[in-house]
Amino acid sequence: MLRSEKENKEVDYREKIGKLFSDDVDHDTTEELINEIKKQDKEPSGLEQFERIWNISGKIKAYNEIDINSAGKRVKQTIFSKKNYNPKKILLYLERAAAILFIPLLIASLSYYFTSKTITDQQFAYNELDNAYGTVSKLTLPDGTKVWLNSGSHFKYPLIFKKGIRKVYLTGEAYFEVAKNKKKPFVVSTSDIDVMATGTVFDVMAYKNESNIEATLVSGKISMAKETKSSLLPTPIISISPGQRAILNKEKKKIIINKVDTNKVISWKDGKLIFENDPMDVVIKKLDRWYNTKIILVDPELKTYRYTATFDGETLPQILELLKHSAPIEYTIFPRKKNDNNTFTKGKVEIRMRKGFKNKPLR
Amino acid sequence: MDTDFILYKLINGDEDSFTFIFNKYYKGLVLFAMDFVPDRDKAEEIVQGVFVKLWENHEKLEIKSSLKSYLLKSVQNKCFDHHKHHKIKRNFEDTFIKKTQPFQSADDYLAYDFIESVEKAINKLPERTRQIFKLSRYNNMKQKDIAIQLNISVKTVEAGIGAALQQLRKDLKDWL
Repeated sequence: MLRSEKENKEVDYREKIGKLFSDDVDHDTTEELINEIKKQDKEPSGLEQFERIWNISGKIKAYNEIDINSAGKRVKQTIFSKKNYNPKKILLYLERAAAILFIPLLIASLSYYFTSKTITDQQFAYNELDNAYGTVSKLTLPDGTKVWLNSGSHFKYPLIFKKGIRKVYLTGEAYFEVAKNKKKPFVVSTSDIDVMATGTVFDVMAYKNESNIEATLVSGKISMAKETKSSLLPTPIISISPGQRAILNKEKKKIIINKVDTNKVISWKDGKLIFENDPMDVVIKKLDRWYNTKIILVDPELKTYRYTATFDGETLPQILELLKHSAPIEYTIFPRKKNDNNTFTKGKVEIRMRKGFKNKPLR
Repeated sequence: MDTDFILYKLINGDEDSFTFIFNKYYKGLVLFAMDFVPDRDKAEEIVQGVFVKLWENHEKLEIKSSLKSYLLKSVQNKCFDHHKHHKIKRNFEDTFIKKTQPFQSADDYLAYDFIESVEKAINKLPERTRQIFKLSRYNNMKQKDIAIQLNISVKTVEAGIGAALQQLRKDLKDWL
């Protein structure tokens, strides 16, 4: 078949392209071909364009064969069949705040009492707060919920509440006035259990060194709930009514409900410590936590003495003096000591039975 | 579409976000994996494994670049591991040297509209050219084998492939 010179050139050019993309061409020939083709090509990046088309055409068959629906099912099956899902583990990861994002943040002004770890380089999605001892702090969450944090508490909340749930994390004690939102239940996650509510007023106490986690309801409705892997919201175990308190024994994993004077339970939020016929060891524990001082009852008989009082802004030595007037105690204060590395040891108080009272029958 | 926000929701455990990310990236990641692991079933296994891990670690995800780069890198690493494990190191290194910038082609693999347009354009080629081109790219046949099958010369095959690429480049110029 006779061809014109123009046609010959065209065919020659195409053959060169075809040869370049064949699998048995050696490196030197490739270099040569590339140069020749580039000379003849009117398009500046024409060769890269050929490469892209060549590359993608080689993947079209595979692209059409991929069954994304069955692949998706397999992935989901694999995820749900794995049994190492451990809610506690997740809490640990969250406390290390490992998420790094590029979302610009709006940081609300924080109250004087906070030592907050708000990260301003817009990389973390949570606000974490450590409440100093002997103080009560108040904050307002993005949805309008008001939170009071008791002495020595650790609280964590996301800067944006995600769809379907408002989840916060607490170690310590907090009092909540939750903004109403039926579509987004408010969940307080503690080490062993979740407390779930919608538009309600309640107190959650979940200190690390306590054997119980307690939730006290002032108004509205809350339930103790268990985190599950298969749903966004935790599964309710039991709910309580206003004036009731649910107590979870961490070790026994049992929940009991009793009636309480809610004012007494939440008095701390107004800076008051109220004791009403409370046994001495409970009083001591609260003072211990409030003043961040190790208070030791040397004589165990003292544990059974009951005490009633309201403290509002007194110092620990003042309280101890007051206690002395109504209970047969003696106390010794060991003040904080400075260590070699400039840190301080915790102060210590020893409380013992007043001399002469030992061996007398208890009231 | 704001991938930062999708990522944020994923880290917070939003399953819908995970599904969204899966549907968006799965096919492209499989095609990308096939650059290193040519067998499609194995490539799919690898990519599925990457997604399982993505969910398992969603709470402690640390992504310094973009979600796309993170996924591509994860797939690539898993492909490397696959080859190490199967001791086909030598072949793999050859393949790797050819693909000096693997992530460049990745953008094309993730552009599903583009892939579908290429297919449409191939189907519009003149019969002979289309036949030669499909035997080469869909059936993975060597040019000398195509020549034997169609009873033509190797040069004719080469010219056919060249003609196909020329025409396709013309038809797809809006995408390139």
